[in-house]
Order: sequence, then structure tokens, then C-alpha cells
Amino acid sequence: MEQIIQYFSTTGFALIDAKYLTMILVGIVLIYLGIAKKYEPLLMVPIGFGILAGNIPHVIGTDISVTDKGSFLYYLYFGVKHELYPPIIFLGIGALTDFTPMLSRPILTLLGAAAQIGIFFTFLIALYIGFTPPEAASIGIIGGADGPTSIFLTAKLAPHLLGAISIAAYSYMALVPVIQPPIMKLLTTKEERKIRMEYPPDVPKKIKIIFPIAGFLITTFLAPPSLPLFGMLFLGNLIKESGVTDRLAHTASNALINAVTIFLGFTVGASNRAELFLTPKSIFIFFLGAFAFAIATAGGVLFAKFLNLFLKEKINPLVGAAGVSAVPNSARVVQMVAIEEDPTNFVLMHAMAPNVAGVIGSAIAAGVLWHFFA
Amino acid sequence: MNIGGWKAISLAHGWSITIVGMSTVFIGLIGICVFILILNKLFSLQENFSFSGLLLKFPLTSHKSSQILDPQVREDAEKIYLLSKYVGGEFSLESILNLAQKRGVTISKKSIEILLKKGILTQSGENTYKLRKL
Repeated sequence: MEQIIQYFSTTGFALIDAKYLTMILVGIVLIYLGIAKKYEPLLMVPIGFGILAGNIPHVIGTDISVTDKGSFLYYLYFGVKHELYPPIIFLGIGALTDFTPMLSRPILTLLGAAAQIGIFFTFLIALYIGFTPPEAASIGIIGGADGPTSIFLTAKLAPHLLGAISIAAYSYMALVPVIQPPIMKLLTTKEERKIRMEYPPDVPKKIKIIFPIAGFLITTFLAPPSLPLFGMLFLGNLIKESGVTDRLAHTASNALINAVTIFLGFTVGASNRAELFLTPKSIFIFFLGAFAFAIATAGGVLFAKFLNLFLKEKINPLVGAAGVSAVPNSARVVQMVAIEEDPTNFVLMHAMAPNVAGVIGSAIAAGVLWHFFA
Repeated sequence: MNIGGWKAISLAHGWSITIVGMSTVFIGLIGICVFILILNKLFSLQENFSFSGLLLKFPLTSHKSSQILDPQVREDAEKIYLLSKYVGGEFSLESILNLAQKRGVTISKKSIEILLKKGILTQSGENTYKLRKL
């Protein structure tokens, strides 16, 4: 009988408290959002389940959590802690991304740069609130709207905030259709939202092949710390466009990215332990994350309006909102808002240009912040 | 949490990092933008150069090839040549015809048959073709 009581005292039922229950509830909410509302389900479901796994109450020494050396989760978490998973995901993104819209109208690339103001503005606000500089940099990168880049930088600069930052980044990526439209409408007139853009021309195959090589060289010369991200992104794109490595491109854009997404989501979720997540800092991070997204969206839209002062062929300023690199969600949102004004105005292809440029821009910004704070 | 405030921003060199960061992002993407513009320009120049080379190879008058190809077939060969730039050196006829349709260009099947027969369009793989070096 004594042994039964002793065993029971080590089970989750005996050790559970309000903190763990709250975290289990958070995990269930994320799983619900992923499955029922289809908010970034590929990540919300593994992250939500990971939160459940990371918050099973257990006796110290059982060695089951991500921090317990030798545990299963510890080894899986190695890929997050040592920034292995984000570059592999970038390989898949590169193999899935078509840079044609950017190559056919390169001026739209600048909108992807303007939207990165969200990163640096939020970095300043986080410093003002009282976060340490590496923490502030990790929070600011949420404004890049790029989950893998956020995890890549935070794992290096502020690993203790990884859980809150990754959940904030992916939640807001999922909430792009809610956050962006009011800002886009606030900053544009009806006439501006109706601007039609000429359909972009096709791009010769040779340019599509040369671009990933040149793009890699330009970006890594400028921001060497982001080499793992750019190396994999542009390699992925090169194997896609070369036409002679279809098998590799297929693996990178399917099996590999899917497998790593499972490991990344699950272990990031499992790293969200109650004692680390349920802190006032997490609340600030969620607030600042939303702020970063809003500023990034506004930055892109306003810069498009600024460019229109000089351009003969006007840009629909809504396209600027796609400069946040939530690919392809924000481009879809731009299309959605554009057809509200004119159902025959198709700007999706144009919006994809700043969208993919935003991926590059946020990775450059991550490289700069890494340089200063790592 | 640190003390925060404007002092915290100054101590962390927040302003200068922001300026350096945004400048670097802009320089990087402007660099890419300029590179793409130059590349597009170079390719359009090369395209024009190749196009005139093609015309020289298929002149309408006083050349041996003009007796072989009628103007319509010659025009279709030129169209295939230009469209092939967008699908790669080796292409399937289906991809060329789809691209032609997408761009509102017509290429007659009869011309393709003639080009195949004359060996100007040659089969390079199971379903792929290429235009003879002109």
C-alpha cells in the first residue's frame, strides 16, 4: 500500500497545480485554433501538443523535459537550441518560393525593406520598456513576421524567451488577416486601393537560375551572420530553378521541411514550461509582437505611397503591406482587401514580390542584430 | 527587466543600431533590385542580338534557307525561339504552346511539323525538344 501511495505521489495527478493547468489549457487552445480555425495548423498543432508534453508535472530527476540532459526531448531540442532547424526550413522555403514576381518588377523589392521598420521600432520600444538589448532584439524580430528567423535569432540571443517569442510570432502570422486590413484601410484612400497594376512579364529561365547565386552573394556579403539562413534559402531556390535537381527540390519542399516542421513545432512547444512562460515578460512580448506587426504593415503601405510620388506607373499601396514576410498569408490579405474595392483587381502576383523580399529583408535584419548582440 | 527609458536606448546604442539595421536592409534589397534590373537589361539586349541573328539565318530573300522556309514557318520558329528563353533551352512542345497561348501568340502545328522535318527543331529527350543552334 505504501508503494502505491508513493508511486501516486510522483504522478502528474498528484503534482499538478494551477501553473501546469494553465499551460495545458494554452496548449489545447493552440491545437483548437490550428484544427478548428485553421490558423497556421502546420505549426499550431505541433506547438500546442508540444506545450502539453512540456508541462506534464513530474518529479525532478525523471529526465523527460527539453532541459533534462539525455532525454528524448533534449536531443530533439538540440536542433532549436543550436539553430539547426530554421535554416533547414529555409531550404524548403527556397524550394517552394517562386521569385518571378520580384524579378519581373524589382522596384517592389523595396517595399519588403520598408516593412522591416517594424523590427527596429519594436526593438527600441522593448529597450524603453526595460528589456535587455538581446531580449529587445529578439522581440523586435517578431515584426519580421518570419517564424524561423525569429527562432533562429532568439535561440542565440535570448533562449529563455524562445517559447513566448515563437508562439507570438506564429500566432500573429496566423492572425495576419485580422491585424493587417484595418491598418491598410486606415492608411489608404478608396482610390488608392483601386489602383490597377499591369500584369508582370515573365522572366527568362536563365535569370531565375542566376538570381539565387547572386542573391546569396549580395546578402551574405552584407550580413554574414545570416549565412545559414541565406545559404539554405537560395540553395533551395537554385535546386528548384535549375531544373536538373528535381528530386532534391522535391525532397526539400516536401519530406524534409515537413519533418523539420514537426520537430521544430513540437520541441518549441515543449520548451514553453510554465515557470518560463507564465511571466509578465510574456504578456509584454505578446503586446509588442502585435505592435511590431502593425508598424511593419504601416511601414510597407506608407513607403508604397511615398514611391508613388516618383513613379509613372503607380503601385497599389496595399501591396506594401505584404512586405511583412508572412508568406503567402499577407499577400493573400492584400488581394482580399483589394477585391473588396474592386472585384476585378488582381494584385496577388504583385504582392508576392514584397512578400518574398520581406523574407530576405528580415533575415538581413536578423544578421545585423546578431552581429551587435551575440 | 532593466531600468528602461530613453537612457536604456542610448546605453544600448539603440538609435545607431536602428539606423545601421534599416540602412543595411535597404542597401541589401536595393542591391538586389539594381542587380535584377541590370540582369533584365542584359538579357533583353542579348535577346535582341540573338533575334537579329535569327533573322539573318532565315532571310526572306536571296538565301538558301528562304527557299526552305516560308515566312509563316520562319515567324513561328522565331516565336518558339523567344518563348524557349522562358522555359529553358530544352522544352516540351506542350509547355511552349501553353506559354504561347498565355501570351496570346499563335504557333501553327503545321509549322512545328515542318521545323521538325527540317531538323531545325530536334528532339533532345523523351518529351523535350530544342532549337538547332542558329
